Amino acid sequence: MGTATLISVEEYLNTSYDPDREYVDGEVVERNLGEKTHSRIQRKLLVYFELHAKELGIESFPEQRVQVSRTRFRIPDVTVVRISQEQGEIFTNPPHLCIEILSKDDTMPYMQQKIDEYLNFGVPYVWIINPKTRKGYVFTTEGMVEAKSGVLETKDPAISVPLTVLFE
Amino acid sequence: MGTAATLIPVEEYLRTNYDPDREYVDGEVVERNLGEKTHSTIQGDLIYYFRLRRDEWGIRAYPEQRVQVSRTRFRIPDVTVVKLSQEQGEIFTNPPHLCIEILSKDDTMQYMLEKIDDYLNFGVPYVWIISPENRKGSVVTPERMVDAKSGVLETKDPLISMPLAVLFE
Repeated sequence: MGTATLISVEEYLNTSYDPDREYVDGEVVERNLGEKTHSRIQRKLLVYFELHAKELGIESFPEQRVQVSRTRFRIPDVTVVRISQEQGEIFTNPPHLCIEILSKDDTMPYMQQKIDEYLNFGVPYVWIINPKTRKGYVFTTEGMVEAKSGVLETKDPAISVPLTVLFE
Repeated sequence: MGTAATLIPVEEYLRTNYDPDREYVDGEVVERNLGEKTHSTIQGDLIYYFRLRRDEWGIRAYPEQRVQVSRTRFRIPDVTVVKLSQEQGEIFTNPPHLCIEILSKDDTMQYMLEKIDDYLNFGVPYVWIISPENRKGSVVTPERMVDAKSGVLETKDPLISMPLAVLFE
């Protein structure tokens, strides 16, 4: 999942990767992308957030670079921030919500590490969506809870996305 | 994690010897990620730790035990812990008290979530996920998955506790 050579933050930021990559302590990390199901769910999330953007006071971004620590940059599938929060071209403040859609090759140690980085950075909500089982999970500092009601939620603002919207 | 493409009946799966042993999910024979020293060391440490406390806690721990979690699904937890009072056959068909999985670097999140669901749906009250790479442990119950932030993995009834330091030293 990663290349062996270490590079500097500057070199990472000056390089264009296609598809874009993450950066973890000098290592440039590939992301698992390109599956239609993954892409479709990402689109449905963005459309849903766009329709509710004004009412919720949020803005959503696909493939947004987020600097979670001095030497770590992650790219959530979808990043949701409050409109009131200032962010630069690269996000350096904790977003309200980071969403990851699982690909079949995403390993559990890799996802654990990424989720922990979001939470440690101060992101209050991380959603994990599993297209294979059509289940959704909400991670907070309290742990992981499956969205058994079929609705993914956050508080303040009260965002709720029914899983059926993503899988229909 | 490769899976065989052909589906076979339960009887054939149970008659066949796999080395290393494999799981069976609705006709599909599923390989497990094994053979790494870290994985193996932690598994050994767990078994030893539980053996020392077997009588005190009234439990017994089994490595690589086949557990039938539904009519057509068999899983093999890295370590399975049952109460001494519970009857089990050669293949476990009653929900163990605790199933433990040690993550290998190739275990996908989808595979692990599916396996955790199998245990919980079967009625296993506790699942521990140990991640050597991230040096952490998580406790899964039907309600939630929580990191053992205190550094101790626990269950209730019986009260079992296992400091992560024992495993990562």
